[in-house]
Amino acid sequence: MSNSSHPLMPTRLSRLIILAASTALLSLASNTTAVGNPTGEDPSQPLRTHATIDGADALANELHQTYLEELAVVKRMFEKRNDPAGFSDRQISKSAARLWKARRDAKHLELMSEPIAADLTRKFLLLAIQIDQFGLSYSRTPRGSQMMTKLITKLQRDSPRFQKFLQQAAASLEKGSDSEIFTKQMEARGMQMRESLVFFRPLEHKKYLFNFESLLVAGDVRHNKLRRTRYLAQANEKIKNELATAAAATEQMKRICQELQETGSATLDGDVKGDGTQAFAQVCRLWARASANLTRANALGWMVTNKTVNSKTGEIANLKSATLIALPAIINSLAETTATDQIPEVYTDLLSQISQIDRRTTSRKLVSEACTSALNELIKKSPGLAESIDAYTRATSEPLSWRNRFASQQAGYLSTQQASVEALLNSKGPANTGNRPNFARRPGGETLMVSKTFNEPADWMIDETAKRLAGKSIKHDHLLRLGPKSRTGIVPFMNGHYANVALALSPEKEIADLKVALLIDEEHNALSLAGMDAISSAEMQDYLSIGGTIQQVHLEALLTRFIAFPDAAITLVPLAGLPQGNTNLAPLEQTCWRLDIIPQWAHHRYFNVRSTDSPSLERKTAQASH
Amino acid sequence: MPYAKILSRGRRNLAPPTRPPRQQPNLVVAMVLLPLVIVLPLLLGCSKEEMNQALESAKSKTKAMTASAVEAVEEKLPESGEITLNLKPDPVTISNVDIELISMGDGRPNVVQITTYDPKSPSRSYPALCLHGITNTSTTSSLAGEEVRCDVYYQKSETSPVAMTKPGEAITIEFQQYSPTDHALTATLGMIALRGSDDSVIQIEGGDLLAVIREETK
Repeated sequence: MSNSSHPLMPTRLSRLIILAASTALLSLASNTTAVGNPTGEDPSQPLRTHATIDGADALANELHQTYLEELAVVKRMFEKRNDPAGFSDRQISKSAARLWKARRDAKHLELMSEPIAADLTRKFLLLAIQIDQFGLSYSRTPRGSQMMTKLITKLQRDSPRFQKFLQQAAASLEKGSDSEIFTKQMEARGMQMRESLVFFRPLEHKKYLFNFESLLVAGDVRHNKLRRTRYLAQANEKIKNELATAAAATEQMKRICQELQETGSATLDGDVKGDGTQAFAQVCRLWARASANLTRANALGWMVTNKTVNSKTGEIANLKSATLIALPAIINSLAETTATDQIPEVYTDLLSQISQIDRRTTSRKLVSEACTSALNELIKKSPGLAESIDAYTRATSEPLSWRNRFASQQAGYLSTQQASVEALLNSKGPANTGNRPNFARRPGGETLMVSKTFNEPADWMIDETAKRLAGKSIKHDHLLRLGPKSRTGIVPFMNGHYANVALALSPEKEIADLKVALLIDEEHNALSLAGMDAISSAEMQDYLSIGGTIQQVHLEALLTRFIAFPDAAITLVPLAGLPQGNTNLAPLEQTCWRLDIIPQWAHHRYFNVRSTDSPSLERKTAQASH
Repeated sequence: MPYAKILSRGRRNLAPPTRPPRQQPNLVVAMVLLPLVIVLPLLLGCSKEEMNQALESAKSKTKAMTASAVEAVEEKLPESGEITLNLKPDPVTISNVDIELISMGDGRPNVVQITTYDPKSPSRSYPALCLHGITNTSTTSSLAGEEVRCDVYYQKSETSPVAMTKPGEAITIEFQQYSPTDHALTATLGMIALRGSDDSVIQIEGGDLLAVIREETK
């Protein structure tokens, strides 16, 4: 069977775009990790680590490998569960010991605040329960009974030696000797015991373990305290570095303003001298970069406190203030130094930059409002410019107003058949556990389309959610292009999800028409902020909303998304803001869903653009009216 | 029959559009125009009722023009213009039509904007229409004889879909007469298919307009 004939499946090109876009966004992330996140297409991928703590990534990979191997063993044995005499006792012993150690390692990974740790713990427990059952079943077979007799003899024979080991361990614990060595020795013994005890009922374990478990717990408490202190120190060091880089960015902004004021130019990235408009762009870049630093620091703060409360709002506010002081200061310098005949060009350059950055902030007019007075001073230096701007504003406000109303109405018609993404994600659908491992399938029931927490193995979660969401038609607000040359648009993170949208629509005709209405040609740019915002958003393909088909779903962990957060992904978080997790849930538990969307239409403030295969509205409205 | 159409047709017979009587005194225009306005509908085959309406309309307009001429240099703007859109099946006539020529003064072409509402007012009257195009002509009055391609924006009522020209398309407006007394321009509209926001099609098969020059900005 082939997927190619399915009407909802996107084109090969769109898939490639999505794939390239996803790779672009993710490959910029932490370079310490080689794994991706589970997707509908490949649910078995492990959750990515943020790898804040040294060794976390390697440990996660190793445990994931153990999971895959033991899962295969359990699935195989489950198939033959009605014939336990055919089980291999050696395999049961080996798996039981391995899973016992793996569950302990997963707890260690949890101390490193890796969201995959809880997922692995959940998975290992499920496997361990199955192995325990296989062990008991085997012990009741004739071969098993014989083996049990031998095992009991062996355990009784070894008991004095084991008790001696426990006495030494207790003494070592008392003396406070090396926790690392203590844990290693206890774990080696624990695995040995587990190899045998997997065939005994839990009530009988105590008979052979003596005080092993209480000693182990006592050792763990001590060791975990040490480990946690060490890991917190590492996380705090990273927070410090992120904050220092963000603080350096604000210092750079100040230096740039000062240099510009004193010399008319400023040293920018790569030691290159730049003029005022380039300095303006550099300050905007510094704002974005430092915001990425603070986003990471903030998420590391979630990790350290184990609370999803944003602790870096003060730093974000300070960065915003510094930027909104620097930008008008640069315009003031430009007003002083720019030749009169160059002012119109400088003015439109600034207007273009302001419109772009405004759309990437928490409020649409944050930068423009901060720069209004400085821009007015700049305008005054060019005779006639103010009058031209006024006339331009009057000459373009009617087309903009009409086009705005036309586009809003049309978007309303276009979206009549599409659920908003929030409505869809918060709806329930019938559970289909068909793809789960053979031991975990269960009948029916309804579950939420997406879960806000990791409450089942991640591969089961993504499989069910992706099956139900893929191909669904949805409407999503607020699409911003990742970068000027990127083929990907982003719907910023909100309410536990974000979206990657392939910019596969062709708005060229609409842009050309808008330019005519806005009197823009090769020599003349827009003179009003509304006009500039209209054209720069059209060319950037920043849209108010989009409608499209969900092509792929990815399951990420909230904490990892924002700790291993690449600078280039700052579009996910509007400038002057921070991602808002669910404060009622622990950060480690929280999911972050990514939807890959193939757009059918996009709503720009002043036009709509549709894919060529999008059906006509008249048919849609006729259907909607029934 | 709308006054604009009468005026437009009358003027077309009176003088070729290429040479509008721009400098003639208002009184003379009014005196020459009145008999023609009365006679012309007969020639054009209007019904008696239509002719009476046209007569009353022309009388009141002529009164205004005469009064403005009597008041000599004192500028008195007419209260209203009018546009008729030949839509299928029924033509639509909208009163209060203003024309504005906006000059940016930075080297780009000027904008011709014709509206049936006051852009400065937050409320709209319906049907609402806006024609928006560019020209190299420097004053509104000298648009007479010019052709301007315009985007069309139209909305029949507050609740009906907004309609506009498709990307890359425009209606042609042929300006014909400038009346200095009226401070108004007459023009005919070409044909165009507008696209509604619901994908409906509104076919305009020509039309006539008399637009009052509300403001001129250089």
